[in-house]
Amino acid sequence: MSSTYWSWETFFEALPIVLQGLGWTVGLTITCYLFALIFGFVWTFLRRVPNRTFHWVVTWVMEFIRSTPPLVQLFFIYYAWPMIPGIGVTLSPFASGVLGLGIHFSTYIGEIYRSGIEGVDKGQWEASRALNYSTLDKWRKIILPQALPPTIPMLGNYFIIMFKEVPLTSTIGVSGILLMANTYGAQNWAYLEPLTIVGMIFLVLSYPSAILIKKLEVKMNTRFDKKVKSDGRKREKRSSDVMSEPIVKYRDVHKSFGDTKVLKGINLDIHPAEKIAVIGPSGSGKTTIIRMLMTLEEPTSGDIIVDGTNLWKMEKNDKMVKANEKHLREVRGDIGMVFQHFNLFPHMTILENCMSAPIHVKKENKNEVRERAIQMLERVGLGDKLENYPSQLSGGQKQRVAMARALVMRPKIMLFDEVTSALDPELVGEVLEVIRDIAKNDDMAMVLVTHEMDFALDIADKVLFLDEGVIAEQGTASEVIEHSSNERLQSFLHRFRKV
Amino acid sequence: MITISAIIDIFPQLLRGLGITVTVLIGSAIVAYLMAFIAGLCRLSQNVLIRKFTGLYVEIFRGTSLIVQLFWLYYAIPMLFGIQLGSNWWTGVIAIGLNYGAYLSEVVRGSILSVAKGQTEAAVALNMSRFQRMRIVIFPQAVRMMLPEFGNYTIQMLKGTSLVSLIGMTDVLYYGDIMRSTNLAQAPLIYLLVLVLYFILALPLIWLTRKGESISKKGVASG
Repeated sequence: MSSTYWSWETFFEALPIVLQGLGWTVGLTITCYLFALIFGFVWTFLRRVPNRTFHWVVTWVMEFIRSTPPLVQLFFIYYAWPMIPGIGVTLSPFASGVLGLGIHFSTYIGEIYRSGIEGVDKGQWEASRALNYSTLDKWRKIILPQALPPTIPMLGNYFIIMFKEVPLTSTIGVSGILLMANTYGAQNWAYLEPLTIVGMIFLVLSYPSAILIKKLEVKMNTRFDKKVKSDGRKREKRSSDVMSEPIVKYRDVHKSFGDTKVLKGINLDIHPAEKIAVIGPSGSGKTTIIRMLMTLEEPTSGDIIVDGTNLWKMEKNDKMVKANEKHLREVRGDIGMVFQHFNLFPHMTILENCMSAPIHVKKENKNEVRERAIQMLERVGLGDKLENYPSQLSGGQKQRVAMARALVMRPKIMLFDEVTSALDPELVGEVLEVIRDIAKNDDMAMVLVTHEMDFALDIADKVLFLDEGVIAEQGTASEVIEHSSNERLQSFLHRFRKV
Repeated sequence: MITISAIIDIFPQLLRGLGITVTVLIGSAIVAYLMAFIAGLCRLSQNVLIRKFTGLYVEIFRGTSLIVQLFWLYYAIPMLFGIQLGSNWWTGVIAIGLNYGAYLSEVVRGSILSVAKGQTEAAVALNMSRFQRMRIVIFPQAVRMMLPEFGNYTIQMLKGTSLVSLIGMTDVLYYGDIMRSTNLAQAPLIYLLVLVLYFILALPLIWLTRKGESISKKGVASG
């Protein structure tokens, strides 16, 4: 940038002059904010007056103030109010700023208070009545102490928002940083430098608060950026047994979440059409085993081989590297999964839920897919709900839709992740019936993670008992149940039988 | 003091600024919505550089005030690029659009992140690609959640358009100021009518926002 546009000399000459306005800007922000915090209560109170007409009027007055420009409101108070006969008052620019911006933002603050108050449990109101509190005490001791803390982050936000609106008052002559910058600009015909200084002051002052707010946000929402470190350098053992029958092989698979080791060396073969039940105490890593196969969780080490191909690693320049999305997609195509919480798509009808993936993912013909989807939905007993949305169904019905949705994809391996755990007891039966039907009539491999012990033992070819991150026992149902000498398995089963 | 004849005098004068106010609003809304989706999606990108760069844009525009940005661009654009944008209209539209685009990009990002994690998992289980997951499953749900905030910010933008009178645009407030300077005694009525006019413009937006709220309550997974 050539120096005709930008001069550091001007910049440093303007800096102290602009900074002179900082006192007014910050002072006005704080005064305005306090005013709005207090005046906000007025709106909250007015909106609680139990008169319908009054309530309506207050609501729309607030709406009026909120949806018209604060700049015009400032002009009204500064220029117009003194002119009103009888009640006209001439205010200083500073006082006009406090009043104008303060009233404008108090309507927002009032709504924040209101949402806080509405967030207080109904039982608290009833309890304070039952304890015969006076109205004042009820508010002071019971309601407000609970209603206000949750609103603090929002209120903090509004401090920053108001801080950024305060420069509007330069138009009515409050000598804050913006007015100082504009004055300097007019005198020296150099606006860019002083205005940049103003911008920088705002960034410097609002940034720490923005970071604070972000921290709060991160605290509430850490789930997406979970990245698991991989040590994808381990070599795959490409031995001759790739050719043998298992469709899925786990080889020395480990999984840690942070410092917690969940799985400590899993070795498992899944053969085509085999029905496997995984049982074990909660927290033993049962779900993690199948989530890794569905590529929802990345193993910390070890290999999972699907149909002869390593799922989580791929070859690149003669080296095994971490698999990319494309590789994962190719390999997991034959795997389907049913979830504990159904995870139906709420914005699609039941039929659309079952049709979207075959059409978009497998590029199948729409009419064929529709036919197959209807057939599957009829099979799970929901042929009459095709056009309903998931929110209109019971939990058991939702889970049956989820199974139909997975089946329409014609997977070779179906994973069931505690599919009855989120259901009311009376709905469990209908879901198990469908699974039993699938197990009997379809020749896909199935892995069931479940707490329904008797059911699992009934349909499973192989039962795995998972304990403390390893497969502690495996075999046919009768082998595991009746002949195992594993003490922890016996006590686990014993506990279950008692319940 | 408030006489019908005075209102009949003043109101048509104000209406002369209506065109500028409305077109600036529409222009900046288009810019803001575009920026919202571009920046919002960029902030979810896997590319660190894109993420940081967009983050910088969002922080700068959210960290300073609109009026400062407006003035800055007003002086900076001709100086820095040696071009006149043709009119102050563009300066206003770009300033308001970039400013609210930054705020709205956070709405876009937040809504996408708040679609329940199980939805992504189900889409993975159905072997959808990353793009399909976004297009078929996540985005349609996220958009529903965004609607009320988009409505709210559009009302904010309407309020923001009043600032263009400060860079010499002849909008509603500009004509109000002109009339006030020639007839000080009428100031209360003039500004009241200016406020009423803005409120009338806001009414459809308020209605749309409420509509958006009721839509967003439906059709989103709660588990």
